[in-house]
Amino acid sequence: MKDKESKWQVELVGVTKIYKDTIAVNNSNIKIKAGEFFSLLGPSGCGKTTTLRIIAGLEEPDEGKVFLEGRDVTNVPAHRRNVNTVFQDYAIFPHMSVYDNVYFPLKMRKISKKEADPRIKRVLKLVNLEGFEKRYSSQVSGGQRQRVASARALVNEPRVLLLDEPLGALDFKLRVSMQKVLKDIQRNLNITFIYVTHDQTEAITMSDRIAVMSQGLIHQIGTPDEIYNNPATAFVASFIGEMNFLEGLVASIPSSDTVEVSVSNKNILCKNSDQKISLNDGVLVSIRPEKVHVNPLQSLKNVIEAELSRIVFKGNNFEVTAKFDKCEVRSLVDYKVWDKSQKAGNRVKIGWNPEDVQVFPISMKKDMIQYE
Amino acid sequence: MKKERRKFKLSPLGIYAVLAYSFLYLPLAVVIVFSFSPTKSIVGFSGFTTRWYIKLFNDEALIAALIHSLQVSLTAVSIAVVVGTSGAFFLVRANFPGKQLFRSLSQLPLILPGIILGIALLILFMNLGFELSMFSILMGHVCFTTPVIMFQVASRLQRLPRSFEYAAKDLGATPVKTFWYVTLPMIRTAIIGGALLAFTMSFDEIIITYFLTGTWTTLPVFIYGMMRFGLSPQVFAISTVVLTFAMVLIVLMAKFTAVREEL
Repeated sequence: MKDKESKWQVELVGVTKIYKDTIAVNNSNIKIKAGEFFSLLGPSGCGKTTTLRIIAGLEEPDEGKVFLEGRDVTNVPAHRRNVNTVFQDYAIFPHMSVYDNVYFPLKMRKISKKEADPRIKRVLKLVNLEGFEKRYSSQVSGGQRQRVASARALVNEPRVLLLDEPLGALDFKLRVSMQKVLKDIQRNLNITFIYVTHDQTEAITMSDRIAVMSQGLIHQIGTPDEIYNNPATAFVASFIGEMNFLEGLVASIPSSDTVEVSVSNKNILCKNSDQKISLNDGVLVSIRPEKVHVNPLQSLKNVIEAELSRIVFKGNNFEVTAKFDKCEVRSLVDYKVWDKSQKAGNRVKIGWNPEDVQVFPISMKKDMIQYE
Repeated sequence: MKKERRKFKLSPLGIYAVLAYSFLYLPLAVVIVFSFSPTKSIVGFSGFTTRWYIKLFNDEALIAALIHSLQVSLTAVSIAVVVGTSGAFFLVRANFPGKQLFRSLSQLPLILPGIILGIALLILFMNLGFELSMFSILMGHVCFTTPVIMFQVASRLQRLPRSFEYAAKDLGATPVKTFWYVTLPMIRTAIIGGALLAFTMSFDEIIITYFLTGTWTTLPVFIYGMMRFGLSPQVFAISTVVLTFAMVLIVLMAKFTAVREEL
């Protein structure tokens, strides 16, 4: 029987995985298009690696189904799936040379060394590892090991490449350059990448779409822009980028697209997202520091009085903290714009546009990432 | 460039070490030296001879015992490699209640005094109606060599990250191929090291063998028998041969079981 055509390369339907007493993956529904760079992003223990292993076939879901190109592969073992994985510790076989490591998947498909040779050479060239064929994993650097792992996973020309924190073990500079290498490979070969990371910057800069996970639950799936500018939950808002959070009560709902929240007797205008919020509800108000203006020149719909409490020079900008009552609001101000004569203790006006301010039900506070 | 020479100084700790090693190795040296002595007594040494060795190689009963020993040890170790390696996988990879107890019990034949294992096996074979033969000795040797190999392989498996096997599967290897091409090469040195250690232990084992031996006997039991006629230089000679053989095996084993950074 011919499998039905599917426009999704990878599809998870209601996938759940339970270990002893923790739910590692909780009813995950993910659809990934062919050629997409899709990231699973979340703090450690959020279930992103388990999700990846379920797609690879190294783990069987307790509930739900996995489809690859429309075919139900839920019960197909890993060695019979056309997906390959780059493991977090690379798992380069120490008893084989770089060349033999890359030959391994072809050998498993009973392809002779002679026939495989041009393919191995091509893929080693792709990851810039020419001349390293005879080395062993103990004789190459961390970044090179990463590339051996990538070459080995790519030589079979899989439709989907799974990457489990592939750059986690590398230092910052190398990580940034490897991000570019991986992104180029993905674009040139036009294969689907499913990329697990806990590094939000990495996910935002590389991905077409991101699934943000916490404690087994997918909080939001969207483009980096959507995730950053319209976080679906307080967790997403707190995990991605910098964010100010203020607690308050809904004072009024003046229109269908705005909410007025009372925070320490100050009224803050917020965007009314699709959350069901009613009068007198406890809410979390969230504003990105770069959206907070200090002594704004242009007219803003929402301006309140505050006192400067801290000014930190950060190179190309200043992080300015302003206080009203017991609430603190951080603002990022461009170096050229900032009035350097300002000192802590000065009275200032801080303001923002209501479109840049989001509200979440106070019940979401418990899921938030706390950086203390 | 001048090589810096370290002056040898005898510190109190050095003296202690010399004494300790002398205590351990002087008797061995005596055995080796007097195996080349023409006199029958260990007191007084004059001249050099290899005649005890020549006599040794002309002693048919002794050569037969040596061959028996090799047969028993090689067969026992071969069986122990298979049983011990699969046992190690079970011990490390399987999860079941009472795993700790099972782990301890599996080392029992090694820890148990040989006399107890010997008597126990003797009673077992007697009750089963087996004649004491090469088979009974072999079974005894499998008993205490299996835990040796199991322990060596298990400790290697414990340190081996599972990701190598996951990677192999992910890259298209069936479970059998994963074992053959990935897992086995990575635990190979532990198996060889364990086998060499087990072989040395089996080759000079005497107590268990003594209980299980009939007319068919191994070299250590044979040497023990020779001792009844006094300490002859011939005993020294055969001891020296066995000692040299054991040393070679132990050096090889140390080479194989040395912890190497393989990642």
